[in-house]
Amino acid sequence: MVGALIYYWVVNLLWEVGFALRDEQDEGTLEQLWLAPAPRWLIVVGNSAANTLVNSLMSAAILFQAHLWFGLSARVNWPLLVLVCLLSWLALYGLGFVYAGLVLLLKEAESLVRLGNDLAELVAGVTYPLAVLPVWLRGLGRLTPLAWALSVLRAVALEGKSWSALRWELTVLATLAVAMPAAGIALLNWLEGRTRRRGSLSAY
Amino acid sequence: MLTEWWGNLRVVAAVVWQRALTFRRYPANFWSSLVTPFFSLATAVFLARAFTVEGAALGFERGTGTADYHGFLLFSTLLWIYIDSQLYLGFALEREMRRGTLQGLFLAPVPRWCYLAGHSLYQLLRASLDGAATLLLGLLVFGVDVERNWLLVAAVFGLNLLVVWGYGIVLAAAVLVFRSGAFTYVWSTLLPLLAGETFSISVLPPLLQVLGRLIPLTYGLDLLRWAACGSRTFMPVDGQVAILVVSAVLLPALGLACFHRLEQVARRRGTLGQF
Repeated sequence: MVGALIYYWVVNLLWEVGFALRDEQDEGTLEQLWLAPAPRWLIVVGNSAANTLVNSLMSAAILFQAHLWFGLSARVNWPLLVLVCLLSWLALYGLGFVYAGLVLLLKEAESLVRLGNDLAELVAGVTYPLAVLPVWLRGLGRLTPLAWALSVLRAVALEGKSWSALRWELTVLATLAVAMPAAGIALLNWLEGRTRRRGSLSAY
Repeated sequence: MLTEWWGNLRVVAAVVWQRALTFRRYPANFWSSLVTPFFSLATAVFLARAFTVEGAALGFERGTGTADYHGFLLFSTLLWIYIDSQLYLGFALEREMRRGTLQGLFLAPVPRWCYLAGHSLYQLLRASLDGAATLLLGLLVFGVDVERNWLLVAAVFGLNLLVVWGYGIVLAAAVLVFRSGAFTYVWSTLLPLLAGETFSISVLPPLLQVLGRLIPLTYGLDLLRWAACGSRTFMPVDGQVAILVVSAVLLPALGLACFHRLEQVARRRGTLGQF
């Protein structure tokens, strides 16, 4: 349940954040949007803000249904759970920026987004524990922010672990929450620069 | 008559060629699409392995009547690749709408079914590439047994494709009227649950089982697993075959009629060029 919830976020981040620019390209409005005197990453975030709100409501609905039908316990450390959700969301947002940059450069990146979704689902252990994966795939999974987000969320929501028991994992997640969006924005800017140099911003 | 059919076939081929050219135009999209199909089966198999004890999936065996969960998942995933390809038929129209080219296309004096069949055939060909990759992964990496009644499997598979083509056309028609693929999203989320994409519907709550039995693809999927892996069917095989054959004839015809009707609605509303 926790895996499905987080995976739902990842799918939406990649499609909505990364692909919002693709719609602008198709509709011929990207160049005008790019003339606005605002940071590019803010335009990308703005594009997905409404979707983030909808996602939050959907996630709450999924949790409620899980509680109602599948008996998911409501006795969890809610402040810790909210903090972990927030950190996970920030860490995953970095991927959205990267995809937005890739869409600018490569235009049609639908299969690439699918690849990202499927790869994340496979190596991060969205629907199963990492232990069932071959060792080399397990190592690959540990490199993704999604795997960290999942393991901490499961520990809080299912095992009822406390702040002190998760000190190390929370530190890693907090670091990813800062580093991933920063790296994502840097990559977005770099990919945008390459697109401009190619003169293909208005191409689709 | 012959000239007319030849002309129609050329329209179908032209649409396929146009889609293929567009696809090749984006190299990153092209190459990543070749890798993607390897993951869907792998994810399902690893999930199944998480529930096995010393390689045996006892609960699965009890529910489906077969211990071959690798084969069960392989053939379910294979069919689903094709189902997805047809469910998303409407997105080809939505894309033309967004680019402002749909009205121009619909001015061409060609039967609409040719245009739809062109998109459908292209997506079938793409799905076949994905399917081949998935089959290879299943046979070579996960060691799925190749000893099957392939003729029976192919026959059931073909009938399923006709059924799902009907669904695809109805959903494409909905795109014309509602100018959005929202219905496709909803249906493509509901269908795996109700038809039992990677599980037997016998594990669903009674209400969902009833809903699942209203969907012809549920029977098609169940029959395919029976034909490929010898799994237990949820009703007698003869009855399921009858439902599948009737659906394979009726659904495409209903889909085309529905498309024609909804296109008229969109034309009368004057919304064909909007998005």
